[in-house]
Amino acid sequence: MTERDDETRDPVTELRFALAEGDAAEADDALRERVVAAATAARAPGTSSDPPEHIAGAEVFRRTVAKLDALLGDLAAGDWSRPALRELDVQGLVGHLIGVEELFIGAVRGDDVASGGDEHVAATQAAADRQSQQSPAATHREWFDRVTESLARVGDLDPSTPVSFYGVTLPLDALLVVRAFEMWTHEEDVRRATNRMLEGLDPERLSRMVGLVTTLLPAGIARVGRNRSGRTARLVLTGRGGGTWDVNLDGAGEHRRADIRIVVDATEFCRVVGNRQDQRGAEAIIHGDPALAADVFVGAAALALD
Amino acid sequence: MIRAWLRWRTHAVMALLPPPAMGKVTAVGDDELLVARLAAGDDDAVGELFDRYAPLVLGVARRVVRDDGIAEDVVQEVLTALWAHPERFDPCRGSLRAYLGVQGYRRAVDAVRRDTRRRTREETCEGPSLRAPSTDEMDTASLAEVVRQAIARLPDEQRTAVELVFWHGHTYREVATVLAIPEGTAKSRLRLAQAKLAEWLAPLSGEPV
Repeated sequence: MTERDDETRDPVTELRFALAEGDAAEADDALRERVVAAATAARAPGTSSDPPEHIAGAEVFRRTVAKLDALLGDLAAGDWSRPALRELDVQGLVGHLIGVEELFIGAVRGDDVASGGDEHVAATQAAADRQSQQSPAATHREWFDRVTESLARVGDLDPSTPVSFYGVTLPLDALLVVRAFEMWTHEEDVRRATNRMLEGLDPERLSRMVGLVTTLLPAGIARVGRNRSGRTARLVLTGRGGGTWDVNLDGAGEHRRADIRIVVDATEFCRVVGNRQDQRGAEAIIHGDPALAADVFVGAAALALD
Repeated sequence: MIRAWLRWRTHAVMALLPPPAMGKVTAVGDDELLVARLAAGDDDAVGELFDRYAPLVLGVARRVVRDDGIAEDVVQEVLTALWAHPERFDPCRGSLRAYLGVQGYRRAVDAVRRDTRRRTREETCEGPSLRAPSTDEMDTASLAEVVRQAIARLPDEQRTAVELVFWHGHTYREVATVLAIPEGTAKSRLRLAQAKLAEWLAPLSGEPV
């Protein structure tokens, strides 16, 4: 910040350049093309102007574990019995996460784990139900032990190792981002249940999550049975960690001009994908066919596991 | 702390200004969205930035350099710089138009200074005719009140045009559309207002207009 920059906050400076509209000159198409070309040569389109450091999926997962661990450690005794999700209270929800962790450890071991959608919920129900038999502190400790075991196991593997989980096979690095996404979504469930502020994501984790989400979006569109053959959406995800993606909604690999533009805060879009937010609540700004945009949001929410 | 103080000052200024009274919604929110899109790498936003602000920056630069080619270079430099570093624009400190106007003016002056053949012209070049006094002379809230009163003294047609550009953030083209007048008429009303306001507000800075 320089002393000269301070000019811009003064009412007289504002007036000075408002009145300069009276001297505005015609800027022709040739200059427009020149400016656009020069700008996009100076910085490639698509990427954030201030991209965060790339972190590995294991680090995304580790940071998310640390955040949830800190939150659980901060809960009062009464918080654990507050309704959180479906029929689960906070303790039961952490029990669900214990169940997910047990399945994940099995998947990393090579067990045949095909838990996706409702199966994903049903497969963890026993772990959720048994939490009522133990104290919240014991639930917290059991969850922490399981995630510690998960981190130890993935630390021994190559990040490119394919792992089948949630009904799909992904490289371990990407799967850990998916796992972190689910854990963050449930961390926010706990925050809502206990009347705590939502804290969002740090830019490094957010960047990894939106990168993955935009890749998976066509699968979500297909999952809800929308036929959007040949259509492309430009997703402009704002905020540090965001970026711009042209997503072919039919999953085609070719480069196409976007049919619509959706501008939305990157964290809010992640909440849509977690099925905790909708298009209106996310305050998305749509330019183009609203029906096509609605399909994008429905498809995004279809990526949620529960 | 400083940032919070600047936010407070901006809010204090806005609180003194009358609410938007006519036309479509203010363009201020649109500008913040435009910059957010630039930051996210949406290259379509560069074209929209050009459509909205290139005429203003070109006009400011031409007035300083008096050379179309150099003025166009200034437009390219200013808009490309915003695309490359959108974080340098802080909406709490002023409007996007003022930011780009200041950048255009400075770069135009620099261009004149770089060109030794234009040194003589530099000595006589006219910048935009209003100049902000230092904050030592008057606090921002008081200044905003003086500006508001000066605008209120303008003849109705000029005052309406100024209100649309100053309080609503409209371009001269939008002023013409809102008032259903030719674009040239909108510009001439703004120029007439500029001359009067420059005269009335010049004593604030103690400098000749």
